Amino acid sequence: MLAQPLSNCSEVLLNGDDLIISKTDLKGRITYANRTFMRVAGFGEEDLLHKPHNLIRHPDMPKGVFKFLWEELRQGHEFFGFVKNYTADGGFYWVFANITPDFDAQGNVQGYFSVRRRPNPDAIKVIEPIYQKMNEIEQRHSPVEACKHSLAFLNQLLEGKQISYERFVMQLQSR
Amino acid sequence: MARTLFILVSLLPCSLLVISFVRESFSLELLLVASVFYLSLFWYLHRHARHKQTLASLTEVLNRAASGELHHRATHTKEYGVAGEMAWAVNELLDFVETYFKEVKLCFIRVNKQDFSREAKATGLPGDFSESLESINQAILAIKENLSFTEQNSLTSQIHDINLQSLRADLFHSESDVRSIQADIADVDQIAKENSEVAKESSASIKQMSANLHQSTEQITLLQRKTEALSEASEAVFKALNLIGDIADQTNLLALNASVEAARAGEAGRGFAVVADEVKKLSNRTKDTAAEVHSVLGSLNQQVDSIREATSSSSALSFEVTEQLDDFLQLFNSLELSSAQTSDKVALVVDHADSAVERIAQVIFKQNVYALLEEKITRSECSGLEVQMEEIRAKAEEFSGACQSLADLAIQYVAAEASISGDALVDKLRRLDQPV
Repeated sequence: MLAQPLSNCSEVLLNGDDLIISKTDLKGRITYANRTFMRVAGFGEEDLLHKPHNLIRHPDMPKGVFKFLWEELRQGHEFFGFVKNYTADGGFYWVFANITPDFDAQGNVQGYFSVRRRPNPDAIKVIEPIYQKMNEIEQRHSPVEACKHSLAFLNQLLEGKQISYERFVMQLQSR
Repeated sequence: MARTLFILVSLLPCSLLVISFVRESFSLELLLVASVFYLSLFWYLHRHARHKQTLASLTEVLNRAASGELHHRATHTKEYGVAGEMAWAVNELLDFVETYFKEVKLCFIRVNKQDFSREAKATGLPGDFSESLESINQAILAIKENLSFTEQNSLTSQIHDINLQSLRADLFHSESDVRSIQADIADVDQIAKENSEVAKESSASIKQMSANLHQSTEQITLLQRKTEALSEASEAVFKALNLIGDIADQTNLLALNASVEAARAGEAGRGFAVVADEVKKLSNRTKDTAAEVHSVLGSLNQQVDSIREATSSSSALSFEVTEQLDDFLQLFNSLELSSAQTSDKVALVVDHADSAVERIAQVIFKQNVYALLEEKITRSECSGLEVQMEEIRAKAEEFSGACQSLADLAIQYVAAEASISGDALVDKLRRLDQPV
């Protein structure tokens, strides 16, 4: 039932019924993490609460993906995507993340809600080289321009397949 | 009460210390026991306060969840035992509930925009939650199919509408066509009747003509016979004339003999010679007269012959004309007969055309009723229906029982007088439309 960290720098695999849930405030600081999150990532509650969510961000993740994520959330949309995260002991785990805005009773956005599920292993095989390519592009450009160029590459790729980003990741996950 | 007892009990070691102090029996052991007691009491009270705080924040989270805000959680509950476990149980329940509701909400926001690509993600949710989301995905699929079916339906309905409209127009034209055919047929009937009359009159005149001709033929035959009699009579006259000629010749011979004898007798016979000469002259005159009569009779005979020829050719001619007239008579008789037959047929055609017009009118009426029903079913606002309903009520009286029942049903349905379900309506319409 529990996902066991194998060793340092090794991958932690999620179980099919694992549901990693966390919440952040509007600035991306963690306000809640469930026990699955703590178990998989290897952090205690006190290590996570009030810390920025990019605490667990893995360097293999292109910045462009997060820029796209925040743009989507700002427009009130939900975001789907494959994300590689750090564990506390330097290992990593892949998730299929769904992030949505949280509304209070008055309908104002008061934070974000993130649910991460076990990703389709075949999807990771497809998305990993894409992220690598995006990282290479980002490294070739200045930090200010990096995201713009890596996202342009992603959009070009999707246009070639004549598919939207969301359809693309959903199809990968359900394949 | 419990609170007062608790305070009294907690004050007990303190008061024991004071009493021992007053009685000067104070000992270090006693102080140690009292200190341990108060330290444990403090630890217990602190822990109790944290439990209370955890439970209070848990209560707060549950109350907010009950008021519809599912995103609150109880945090900082580490090492608070049962209360902490309870907080996690509540948090995890809320995680599932919130994830469930988010999935449902986000799906349906898209479904409302007719985007069916976002299915509810049941992965990771336990038992009823994931089952329910799977059912919702199936329902969304059904909505999608239903929508495409509805679109299809709306398309076929539009085509059906166009068809119905053109059908009604076509029927209307057919009706007016048949009506003009009816008018034309009435003209044909009139012409046939007139023909029959003319044929009747013509055949009467021909009969009269034929009778007249027969009479004249008979008269010609009579004339022919009379001419033959005349010819026979003139033969007899010829014979008589030849006889007179012979007698005149013999008389002449006699007169010659008498004059010879008179000459022989000389003077005595001179007177006789004069008589003989006179007889001779008389016989010559007789002979001349007979010859004249013969010649007159010859020309008379020629006239009679030409009359005979004329009468015989006119008799043949009148026979031919009579035959031709008989042919004519037959022709006019058959014309009269065929005119009468035409008239009969035309009457039959008029009957057929009448029933065709009636049938077409019924079909048009039924189409109008169906169109009215369709309008009522497909449109909630039917402002013009009242007027159309009145027209139908008026028109229904012209038609058969089935049409009247159809109109009654339509009026009841449109006016919502009878609460008929769609299926019942279709059932009734089917029964009304069945051929008797």
